[in-house]
Amino acid sequence: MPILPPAAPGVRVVSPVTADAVDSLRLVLLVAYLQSELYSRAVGAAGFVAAADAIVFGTLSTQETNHVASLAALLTARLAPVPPRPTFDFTVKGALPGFAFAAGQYETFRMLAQAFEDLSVRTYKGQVQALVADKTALNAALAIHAVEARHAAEVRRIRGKKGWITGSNREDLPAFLQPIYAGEELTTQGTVDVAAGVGELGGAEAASQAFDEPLTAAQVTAIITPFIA
Amino acid sequence: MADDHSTTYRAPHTALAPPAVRRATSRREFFRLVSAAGALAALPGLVVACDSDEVTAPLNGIPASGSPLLIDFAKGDAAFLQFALVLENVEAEFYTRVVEGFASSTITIAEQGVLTEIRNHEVAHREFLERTLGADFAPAVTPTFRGIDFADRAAVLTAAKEFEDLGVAAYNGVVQYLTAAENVLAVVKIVSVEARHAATIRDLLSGRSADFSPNPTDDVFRPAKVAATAQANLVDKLGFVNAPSTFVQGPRQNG
Repeated sequence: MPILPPAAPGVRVVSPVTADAVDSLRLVLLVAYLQSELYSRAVGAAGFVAAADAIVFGTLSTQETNHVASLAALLTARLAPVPPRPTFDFTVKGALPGFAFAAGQYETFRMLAQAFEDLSVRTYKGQVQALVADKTALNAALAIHAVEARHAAEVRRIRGKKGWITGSNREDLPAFLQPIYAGEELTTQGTVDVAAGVGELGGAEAASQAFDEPLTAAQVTAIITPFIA
Repeated sequence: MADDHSTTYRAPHTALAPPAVRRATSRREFFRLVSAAGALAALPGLVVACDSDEVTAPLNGIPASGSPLLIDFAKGDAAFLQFALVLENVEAEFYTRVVEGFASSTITIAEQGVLTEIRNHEVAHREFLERTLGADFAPAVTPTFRGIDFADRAAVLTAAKEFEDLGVAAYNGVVQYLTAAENVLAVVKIVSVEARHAATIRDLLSGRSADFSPNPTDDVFRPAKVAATAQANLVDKLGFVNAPSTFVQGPRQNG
């Protein structure tokens, strides 16, 4: 648990600051760093992104960079240090050997984009509760969370997939990314059997698609760690 | 009942009373709650008054021409779930009619598959909220879609885009008021699927453009702002009692 520096006299803290909120902001910032790095590397590699996808990935790159700046500003406003951008390893310690945003590797990049967007949705979702006491940070996280879901749907669709997750299906992603989808298969929410509720209108499949599930900080950290050099 | 379109497509409430009976009960429950409540705050431009306690209404009735549908925010989290349920009823009924109209519409086969799945998701959200609230507290809702030509692909997708975007902003705007962790979690589990829908519909309208995510941060709307827009698709006169007096804006400062 990081220790917050004491507020300097005369400095106005705009929101209640809790260690929980700062930890949460740091975690989602880490995911935003990962995403912005992926897109900026892809967009920056001459001729790598397909012309048909250029607007989509340009938009994603711009918005993820915006998220990094927004989250860093929230940390600064809470007098918390902004963690530096890690050095990322997109070969994932050898799980994607030789991946370097090079010719012939475009689909691997799009798979990572899908994986990171779906991961991001679940990461924010898992941190919302820790932010409820800090309404400004809460709303910022919610506003980014929904955008991450828009991103996820768009990346999935340009890859020819549905915009939503069915069961815990990772589609055609490599097996090492399965933890990003683990636990998405729920069809009961609270005490409600949603699959029974929808009945013949999609049953368990619709019930699982209709609700996205959170990941814990520990789960997210375990997923991201291999991407950090 | 023949003209009560929404009832036709409801999934069976296996463990509950028949829908019509239950909905009437819900409506009376609302009246009872309201008569017991104190200050009555009508939304701007909306008339709050008693008329008939009819369960049914004509297909595509006149917005706000029906009975009051009053949400008492003194009830805490339940009121926000009721508010969400009103919106989910509108969405579920909208897509139900979209699917029903496929045979006479210009919507492509591939798009029909997408819209059918979205219909299923909205039914899932509605059923979840209804069953979470329970029979006595799930409001009866009569949606209306005047002016939407369900045979016209562009009209359907444009309306869908507006419903989904509003849904995202609405859910984002209620989280700050919720007190129970399980309700916070339920709402955020749903809102991202609404956002997936929004991007998907936008992709159908304008594929591979930047329209899927028009801003780096999404909208966060206060309930009253959402209600003022949602009223156009409700025969019921939506009104708030003991509405929250404060609202913390989101990053776009537009709620």
